[in-house]
Amino acid sequence: MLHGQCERHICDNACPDYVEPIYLLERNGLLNIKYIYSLSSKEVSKATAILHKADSGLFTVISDDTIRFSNILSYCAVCENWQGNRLHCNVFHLNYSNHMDNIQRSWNYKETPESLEYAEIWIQTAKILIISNLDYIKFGDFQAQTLLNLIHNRSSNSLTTIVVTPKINTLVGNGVFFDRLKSLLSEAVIKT
Amino acid sequence: MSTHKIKFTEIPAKLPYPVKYKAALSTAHSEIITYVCEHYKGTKAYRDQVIGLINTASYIILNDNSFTLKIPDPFVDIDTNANRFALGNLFIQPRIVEWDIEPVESKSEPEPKAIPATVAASASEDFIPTPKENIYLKGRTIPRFDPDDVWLRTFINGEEFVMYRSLPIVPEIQRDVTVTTDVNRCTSSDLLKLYPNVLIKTRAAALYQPCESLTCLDDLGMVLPILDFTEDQLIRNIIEYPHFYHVERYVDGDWEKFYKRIEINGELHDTMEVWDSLPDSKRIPKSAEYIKDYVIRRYLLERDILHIDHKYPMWGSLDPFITLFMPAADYKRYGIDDVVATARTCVTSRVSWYQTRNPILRQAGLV
Repeated sequence: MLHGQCERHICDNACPDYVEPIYLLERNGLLNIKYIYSLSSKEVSKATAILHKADSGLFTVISDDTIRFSNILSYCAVCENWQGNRLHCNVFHLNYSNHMDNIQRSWNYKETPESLEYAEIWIQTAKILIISNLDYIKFGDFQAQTLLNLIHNRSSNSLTTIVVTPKINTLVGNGVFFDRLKSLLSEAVIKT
Repeated sequence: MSTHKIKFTEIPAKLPYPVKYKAALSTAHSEIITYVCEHYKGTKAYRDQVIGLINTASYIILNDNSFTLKIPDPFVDIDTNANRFALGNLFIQPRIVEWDIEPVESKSEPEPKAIPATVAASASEDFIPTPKENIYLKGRTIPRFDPDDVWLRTFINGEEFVMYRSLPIVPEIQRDVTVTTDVNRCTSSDLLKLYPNVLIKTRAAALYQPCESLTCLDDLGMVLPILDFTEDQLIRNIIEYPHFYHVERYVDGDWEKFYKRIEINGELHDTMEVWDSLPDSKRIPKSAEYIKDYVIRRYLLERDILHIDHKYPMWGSLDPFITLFMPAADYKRYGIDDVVATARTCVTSRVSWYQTRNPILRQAGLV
């Protein structure tokens, strides 16, 4: 990724400049997404402006193409935070609809799957958590409550959570917790 | 150009005219001032036109043309190219001018024309100076490349390495230059955009502090005396190599900081051990920033001017104009007239800098 301007003396697979960013790109499912490597200057500027504004706490970004924009945001966050991560998941992109499916599926198993356990750890500890795919869920009490708890726990630890969503009034759901979630997301909108 | 206010009538005395154009600029500006003193309206539109005219006169003269004040309508041909980018330190912004003249009741004068938007924009308070990050040698934080355009595919010790062409293909700022940049894809206009629009001080802060018995220039900093090189040669060396980044030497199987040791007559000596015995050290303060600068510049001057083939050369290349740190007009002030060729050299120097240090290209035997 950084080959074009690398000036390290030796190049091998143990080089931190190679391993650390690749680890994060892999964790966030970005390795095979081609368009994030050839972004325009404008897209990069927009994403970095959001990342620089989003310093600890909850931030909401409204986007028409949430999947694309959340991938762009994740890539830029990885580029800015890979150094020194020592293979910890500094940046984690959570596909919330997948996560909900995985949780519900795990109820049928005897033990919690390892992948879900790891996801829970990264959700709680990532320096920057980017959440997307809220528009692929029908929010009931469980879905809304889980997200509210997640946001609250991370805010208490001064970690940054960025939710990428279409217009909040287009999210589908019902219940008191859903209303509370919508209100919380609305208050945290970043103007881009 | 300083941001302190200058009096309108003192502009010819305050602007840093280059020696070559001093007479012509002083005459032209004085002529404009004399005219304006007799016709001054006192309105903002008029003042903007006057400043636009002064900048236009500077631009015309710096391009080796003669300027003539057109009476009775001198503001008819204000040139929109006379901007900060083109004029550097000679560019005047309206906000720094203190109008020390009184409005005159006009008898018959053409009404001030609307200022062309580009001239107003270039003289506006929203001018954004080039960030110093744009000229760093270290690459952008968020790299971009074309995953469908393989620039190099090679095998090293049985392992495949692939390098993709970096984006943008035509560098927008100096920092965009990488090992894959092809300077032949850059037009003159692209190359001129690489110049910053303000002077960026690239040397250590200590080297801009005046020091007794040493020449210190506002824009270039300290001119350290080195062996018998003339002041012109030393100044040129600073312009060609305005800063040093990761300068190393590969000796005895390891890399070390270049300034740690100094090569004298083909032998390496610990710099601090021999410093006091160097004739130049009598005039140079014994502090880290001065010593580092001296050691590297001495090496470059010996290499470039005396054509000495050092036994312990620098690791990787370091070619002239690797960083453009001031507007193109300021390079012209120092006698470097072909600014397009200089910008082209900047790109090739940077490409060479990266290529000679890139571990993949080196291990593959391609540099």
